[in-house]
This record gives sequence, C-alpha cells and structure tokens, in this order.
Amino acid sequence: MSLAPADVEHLVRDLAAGDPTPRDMRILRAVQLTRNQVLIEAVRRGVAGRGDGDGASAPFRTLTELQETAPEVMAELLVLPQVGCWAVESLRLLRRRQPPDLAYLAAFTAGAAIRAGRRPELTPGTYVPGLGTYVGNGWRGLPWLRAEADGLALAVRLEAGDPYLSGYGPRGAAEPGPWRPAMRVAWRMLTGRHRLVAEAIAAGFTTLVPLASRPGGKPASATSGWAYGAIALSPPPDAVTLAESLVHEIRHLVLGAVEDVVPLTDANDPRRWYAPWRSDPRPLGALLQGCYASMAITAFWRTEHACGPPELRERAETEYAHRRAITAEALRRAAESGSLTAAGETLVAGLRARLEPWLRERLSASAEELAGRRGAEHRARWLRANPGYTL
Amino acid sequence: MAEPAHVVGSGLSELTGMTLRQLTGLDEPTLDAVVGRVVGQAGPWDRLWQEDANHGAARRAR
Repeated sequence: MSLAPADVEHLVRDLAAGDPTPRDMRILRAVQLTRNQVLIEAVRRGVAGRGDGDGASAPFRTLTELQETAPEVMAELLVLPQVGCWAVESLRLLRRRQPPDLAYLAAFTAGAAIRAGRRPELTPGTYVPGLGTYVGNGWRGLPWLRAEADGLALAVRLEAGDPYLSGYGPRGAAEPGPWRPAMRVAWRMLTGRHRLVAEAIAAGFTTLVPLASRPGGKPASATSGWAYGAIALSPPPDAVTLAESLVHEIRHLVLGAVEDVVPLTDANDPRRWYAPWRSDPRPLGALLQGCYASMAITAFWRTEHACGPPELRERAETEYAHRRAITAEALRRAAESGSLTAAGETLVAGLRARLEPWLRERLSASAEELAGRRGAEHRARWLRANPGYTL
Repeated sequence: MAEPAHVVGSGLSELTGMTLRQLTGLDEPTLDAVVGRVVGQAGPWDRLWQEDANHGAARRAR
C-alpha cells in the first residue's frame, strides 16, 4: 500500500477539517509500521557495517522470517511505541560508533517468536517488550486497561518498565487498579459525546505509560513523535481531565505520524515563538503541534459546554472561552510565520476556517473575562521568563 | 537492487506497505535519504510533546 501524493494531501485536508477518520488512522498506523521497519533496516545495516559477527545480525533475520510466517502478529508488534524509540536511539549510537542495545532487540524478537507460536530460549528475568517479564515457569505479563462503551472498546498496555519509554518524566506504578474507575467514566464520556475522537483514540492509543504524580497535583501528560501509540499520563484528578488529556494527546500522535510523511514547517527556520500553553519559546513545528492539539481541546470543551452534564457547564464554558482564544492566537502566529510548507498551509488554513465561526459564538461575560485574564497572565509570565522577546 | 523510489515529502509514503525483506533490497541512497529526512540528527526524546517545559528532556525542541 504505497501512498500517493494525493493520498497524503487528502489526509492533511481531513485533519484540517476535523477529527481523523478511521481510514486516516489506518493509513497513519501503516505509515508508522513502515517507519519503524525502515529504521530497523537502517540499524541492521549499521550493525552489519560494524562487523560484530553473525550473532549481531541474528535477531534481524528472525524478525524478517517471523514477518513472513506471522504477519499479523508482527504488524501489531513492530508498530509498538518502544520499537521506534529503540531504533532511533540505536541509530544515534551507531552515528557515534557505539554499539546499539541488541539484547533489547533479541528480547523483542523472542517475544515475537513466542507470539508466533515458537519456543525460543529465554533467561528468567528477561523483560520482553510489550509482553512482560519471563519468570522461568511463566510470565509476569503487562497489565492491561480495558474499557468498553457504546460498542467501542479501548485496550491499552500499562507499561511502566520499558527502558525505551522512560523519557517522559518520572514514572509511576504499573498498577492498573487506580486507573480503572476514571478510565471507565472517561471512555463513556468520549464514546457518548466525542465519538470520532474516541474512535481515533481506540485505533491509535495502545500503551499507557504511567507517570508519577507531580508536586502540587497538576496532571502531566506527554507523547513522543518516536513512540506512536504511547501516551504518558500522571494519575488524573478526575475522569473529565483524563478524557481531555486523551483528546489532547492523540492529536500529537496523529500529527507526529503525519510529520514523518510530509514536513509541515521549514525545519531550518531558527526562530522561536510564543505558545500560550508553554513557558518556553518554541520552534514553529512545535507551535504547530500545540495548535493542532489545542484545537481538539477547544472542540472538546465546546461540545461539553453545549451537551455535557449541567454540573460541568461552567467549567466547560470557561475552558472553551480560554482555549478558543489561545488556539486562534497561536494559529495566527503560525499562519503569519512565512515558514509553513504547502501541507502546513493547508493544515493551518483548515484549522482556522473551522475555528473562525466558534470565535463568534456568544459566551457569558464572566467566562470571557476569565479567559482574557488567564491569557494576559500567561503572556506576562512568559515575557518575564523570556527576556528579549516581544509579543 | 531496487530502483530508487520517487521521493515526495520524506519519502516514507512511497515505502509504506513494504516488508522487512523488501526493505533489505532497498538501495542505500534511498534508505539513507528517507532515514535522514525522518530522523535528521534527532535523538529519541527530541519530539516530546507536553504542555510544560519543566522536564529537562522537554527543553530539547525538535
């Protein structure tokens, strides 16, 4: 399934117009699977070039064979988020003439072989990516979080120990119990009132990396462009916050996958920009990532304001007023940067066209006032923290 | 050796759907070009997206 330029243009137009469709998500998954395979192939060649002997190339051969005998299993495993992280880290090490972590690849390959029905030899205590830890007479498998509502299922691994998913910040416990109640409620909310984004989350979110709670209790969430499928979250204060975080983070995964196919900004533009959700100046690509995610958060609160439960209306209205204002501001900066590619122009123009009528929707004076104050306070803090910039 | 793929964007879209074995036959310039465009000089955590900049890793912007 090679993608034609018209397919890519269609994909970008879809994303500009609203939530990714199930077809978009299938395309992006295929792209990420290919990206990981391309990176693995580059690592294979780098390892072969080092002349480390036949043993070093064995796991690569096994992966190739397994893909031919168990293609569905390998399609699931090769797209795992840690595979991309391992591969890009391996390439970085090879560039420095250092050996990559082939023991990790061997463990991954052994896990793939087991899933494909083979019986490879494993040393007790071996961590197998995506599967768990081999304990000699069996497995200490990764815990899963599952939720189902309105006929849509979510199933994610809770992955707290993988060394290649460690860059999001201090990790929390691999204990699914505390996540389940909030996940059940959040999933009902998403499937009931945010169906399209719930479908995107069900298709694209495969791995939850638990983060430790932050001092002060502010929830943390993160994604990496190398780890398609992984969302890192600290324990949420409530189910609504969890739902908002998933809506936010799936957008980063989606746009990261798009960026792998087509550049959206001129990566050589050295300028840094004000992003109303960050305390540091950001490159244009990062600003655009934030815009795309913030647009989804805006849509989330707009729907909650219009259709959510009465007890959430005030919070939803305030958040909607705030989000639509800062998203519009950031999109204007991106649009006026002069450093968007044609695909980036399409994306930004579409997002602005979607947002523009929302800016005219009447909200209460108190919500508008609070949004204005939050925006002004953030700008003032940012300017104090980043001397030399003007807004 | 396979012919170099026609590169649009990063070149990844033209390779989408290829198997690991097919990729072993890809010519070096094409593979290098795609990897170079996708990875650049990047490390694994330079594409970290989070709202706050309080983690050291998050300061390294793409």
